[in-house]
Amino acid sequence: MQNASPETRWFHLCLADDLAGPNAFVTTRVGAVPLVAQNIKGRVVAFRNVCTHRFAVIHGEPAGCGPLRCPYHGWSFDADGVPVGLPFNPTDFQLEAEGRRRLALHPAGLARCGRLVFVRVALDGPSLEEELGAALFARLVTLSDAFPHRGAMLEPADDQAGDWERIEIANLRLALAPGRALVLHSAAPPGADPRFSRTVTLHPATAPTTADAELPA
Amino acid sequence: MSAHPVQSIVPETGAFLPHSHFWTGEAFAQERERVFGRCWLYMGVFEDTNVLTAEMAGLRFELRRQGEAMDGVCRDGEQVRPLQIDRCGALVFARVAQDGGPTLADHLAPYGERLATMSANCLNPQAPVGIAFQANWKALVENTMDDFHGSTVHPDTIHPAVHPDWQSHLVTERHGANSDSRWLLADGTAGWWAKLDAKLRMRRFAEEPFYRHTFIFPNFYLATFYGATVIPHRVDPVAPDSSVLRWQLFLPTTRLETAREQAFHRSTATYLIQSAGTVIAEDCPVCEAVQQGRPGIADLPHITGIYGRRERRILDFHQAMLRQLGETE
Repeated sequence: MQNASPETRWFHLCLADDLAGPNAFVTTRVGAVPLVAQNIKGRVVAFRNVCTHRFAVIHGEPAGCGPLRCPYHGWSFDADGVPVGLPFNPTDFQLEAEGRRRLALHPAGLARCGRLVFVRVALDGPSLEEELGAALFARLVTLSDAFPHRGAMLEPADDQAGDWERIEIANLRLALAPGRALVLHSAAPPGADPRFSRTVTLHPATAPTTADAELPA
Repeated sequence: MSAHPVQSIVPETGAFLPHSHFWTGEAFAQERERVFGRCWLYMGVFEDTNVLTAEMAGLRFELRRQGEAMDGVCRDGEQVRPLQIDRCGALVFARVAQDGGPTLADHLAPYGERLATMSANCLNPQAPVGIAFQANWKALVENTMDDFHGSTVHPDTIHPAVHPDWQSHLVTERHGANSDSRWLLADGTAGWWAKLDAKLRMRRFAEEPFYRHTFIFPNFYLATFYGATVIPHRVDPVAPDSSVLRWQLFLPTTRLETAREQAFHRSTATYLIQSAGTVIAEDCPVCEAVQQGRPGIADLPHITGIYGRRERRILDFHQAMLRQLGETE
């Protein structure tokens, strides 16, 4: 699957926690295609992060909290990607419901594996479970549930306390110290700026945790 | 081209530039040959040096003035071609020498006379400014002809400077490749200019409380305030995904004799240059956001954008580009 074109592959984006809050969003880029996953009124949805009006990238930051609203002319979009806030619509566009639907954002693939959120440019293709394989998919679900707490960043290479198991899938490198920590490093997908890479350290439910510094502002 | 009810246009493929024209080397090379290698281009206003230079899409233009005579060349690597040079008032234009083609007056129509009148205010020049954008030059042209991003992109600068009911007062003229918009200044802004006028006794080409924006294809626009200050702008292509916006403030005064008058003029010019720079700095991120966004929907032919009532000038520009690129000679 690694040889498939980037547009047809799943890429790890973030944790479901990152998208739990109202208007929380996380962005990335696959090849030339900017993508965004966003919580809109409780629904987590994914689109191409490009306004259908005049093609500006909507959310420029890798993550944050704010409505899905284009910075150029203020078009805002609902959970179906349909523009619902169009400044000057009565005088300049006069778009009714059907016209708005035709200008909906283009959806992107979105899938979860436990608390891990993946995105894909293509809408069609193998499911995330098919791409990962059922066994690995199930293991990731188990792991992500077993390490619910974010904590102090841990660098496996510097940690002498024990053996680390390493797993690589898609753009995601996991380092697991059983019972102690799970480090997730998501590399920026092909074509993406390094600012779209992310690292988070997760701890088991019983471990002491620190303040969560990874959640969107 | 299908028309939405009354106001907006969703263009069909072929009625606007393909998205790839905003980032490919092939399109850039075609524009270099057929647009910047052929069209009349704004070069500047001659000052004491009697020399003007410009670089657009890898072409270097060099002009010199000797008395009333002007000559120049266009350098394209090893190739050197002579220029045809002409003026519109104080504004100097040039193009690669060629047989046929429009005269400068034809190219500027119907704004030649108005531009010449406004250019009489190209006095008291300030240092030219160039601001780099990581965006194709056409994204900047689209931005400058976009008449309604003020409230979102310039909420604290342009937006409060124009009349609160700007929609009713905005007047846009469209004449194919060239166009003009004028905005009624807010009372407070017009009052600020009036006070400035009282101190500087500005030369005014018209008694108009407007911000006026006159666009000349392919990459020139003249911005004016209060019928006095003129700011020629030119968008210079540097690479498929980068460009430089070059502009120069002229603050024409009839009072520049005493040290006090000179100091006031200097501080006012500095303030206006800083203000203009702030506005341009606000435009830069959205132009760059468009540059980043276009490739992301280029594979989706149904996403063609939509052009509202105040965005027709942009579509006019696209169509002028298509015509120019389609010309084989």
